Amino acid sequence: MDKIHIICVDDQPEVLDSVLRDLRPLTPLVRLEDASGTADCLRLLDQIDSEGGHIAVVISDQVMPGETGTDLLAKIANDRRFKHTKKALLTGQATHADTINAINEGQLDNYVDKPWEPEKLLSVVKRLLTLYIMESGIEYQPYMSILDQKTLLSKLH
Amino acid sequence: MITLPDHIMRPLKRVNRVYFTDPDRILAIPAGGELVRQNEECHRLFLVLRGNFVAYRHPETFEGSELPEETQVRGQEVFRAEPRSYVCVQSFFSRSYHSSYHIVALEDAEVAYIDDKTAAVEPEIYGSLEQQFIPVLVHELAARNFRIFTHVSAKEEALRLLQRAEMASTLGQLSAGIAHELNNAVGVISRRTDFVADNLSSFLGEDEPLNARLFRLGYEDDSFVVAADIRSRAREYEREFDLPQEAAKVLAHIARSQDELAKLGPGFIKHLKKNYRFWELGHDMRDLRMASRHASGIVRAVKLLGGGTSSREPGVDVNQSVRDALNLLTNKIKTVRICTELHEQLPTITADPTELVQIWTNIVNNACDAMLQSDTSEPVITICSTALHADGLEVLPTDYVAVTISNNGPEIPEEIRDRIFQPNFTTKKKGLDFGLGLGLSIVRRLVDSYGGTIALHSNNNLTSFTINLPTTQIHG
Repeated sequence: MDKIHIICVDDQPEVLDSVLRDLRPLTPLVRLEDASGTADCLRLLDQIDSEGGHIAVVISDQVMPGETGTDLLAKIANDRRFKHTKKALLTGQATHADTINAINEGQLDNYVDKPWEPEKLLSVVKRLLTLYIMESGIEYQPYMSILDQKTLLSKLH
Repeated sequence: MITLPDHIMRPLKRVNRVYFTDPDRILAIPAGGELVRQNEECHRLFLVLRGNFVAYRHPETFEGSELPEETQVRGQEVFRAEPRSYVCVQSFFSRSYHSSYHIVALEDAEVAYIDDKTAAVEPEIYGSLEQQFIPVLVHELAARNFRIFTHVSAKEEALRLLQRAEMASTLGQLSAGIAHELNNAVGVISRRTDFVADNLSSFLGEDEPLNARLFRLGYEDDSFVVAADIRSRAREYEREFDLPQEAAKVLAHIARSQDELAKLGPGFIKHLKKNYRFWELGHDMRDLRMASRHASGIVRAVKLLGGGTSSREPGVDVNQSVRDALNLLTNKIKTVRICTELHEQLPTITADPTELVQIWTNIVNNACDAMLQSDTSEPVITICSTALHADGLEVLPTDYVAVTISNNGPEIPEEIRDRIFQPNFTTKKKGLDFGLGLGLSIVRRLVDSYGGTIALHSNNNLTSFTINLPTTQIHG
């Protein structure tokens, strides 16, 4: 079975812990990883990729020291290795311009407002995960229990 | 006196010469003397020759009641008349012959007058008296217009300043009110977190001491961690001990080295594998506690900033006030690198910590805005504190604490350096932040009140504000 990763990026450890906790129902079928910022996330991406792992979803905060979430998502969007990776912004602070940038430059797949509802966040990530699995041609059967059925059906037909 | 075009000024001069030079119609009025009372019958038109007069308008009197005595409160000042102004123009030319104002000499003065019996001079050349006096009327109209215009613009300016001050004070009161409410809520969360953690810990201990230990380790985990370190250690532990990812991560938090790992004792890791959630529970309580402390710190600062119920006391740690200020600005300074070089053996000073926090937040906040607005690359703010010792001379009469806040943002142009400390001066235009233009004026006011000094240096590479505060209050 392929190793599928979901990466959460936030500079505040408490927030990061909360996101990881909310996504825990997805484990152990997928691995949850955390990164404290853009640079840390890029290192992690390289590492996982070099070990042959899949990166299904990156969920990033917007305002962080160094580069912003939008910068990170744009870098991922322009990297051939991660062409199927789904990108979400989880933030309470993005301005109108940030959001436009994230959509245009970062090819954003979803935007979640802070504070978030755990169920909503989980269902968004499930949907993105399903899209990733179907688009990158991974055998979906082993992941059935954590996939979004509606998305799965639409992709199967 | 208003200057009018020549074709008005020449006839005006003639009128003054012809009508207002007769020694029989010149009066001396001593300082404080009345030229005319309000509503008094007066058939004269005056030209002020010397001294100044002030015209008052008393509130309309009720029928049968008297005008206020001179010792009573005067009415509202309406205008002042200086030499070469005309007085009682309206009552004379309207032929009402009743003065609308109470006119009093401010100093020993002299006036010339004509009355309703005065005949026109050379009417065959210059026309009737009214015709000859048209320049006087024009002059008076222009003067009154000018007076009203000046009054209105002064009033508008005053109103504008008042509105700004009111806005700032409303914001202050509003935030103090909100802070007060939040303070109670945050207080409950903070206190209860401690209670719950203590109880939980002893409950767990009754059942299984190792679970209580895991909980405690999570609750007391206060070290600063680097996400990447934890991640790589967790990977090692995951493989080495065949742990679930979450359990390995918990172990990575608990044991940071092989030494620490060995100290945990036999059976600990096996127990952890199934019960790592107790550590997480403790860690959650720790986060709750930290978040509520952080919130109450902010609430305290906001309350103090808005409330202003403060007093200056000795023994204040300036370094702590700098840390408080940075705490308050956590969100703002996220995108800026903050370097602090705080002198460890700084003498304490006599101060109000709130006011100090206010000084630092305003300067740091301004520096952030300036750098963001100009898209400074790699913005850095450096804050250092040092002690300056009294030199026994005039220059440093006492010990000082000096705090320098510098940034690598844009240069403050020479021409505005003097103005940045004035109220209502702002360069902030864009974004959601609105500048009240009060920040640095507050800094100046506060520093002055401590008998301190502000020095500003600015060039392409570095802009720095150095605040010197005396360790003891300087009086006088």
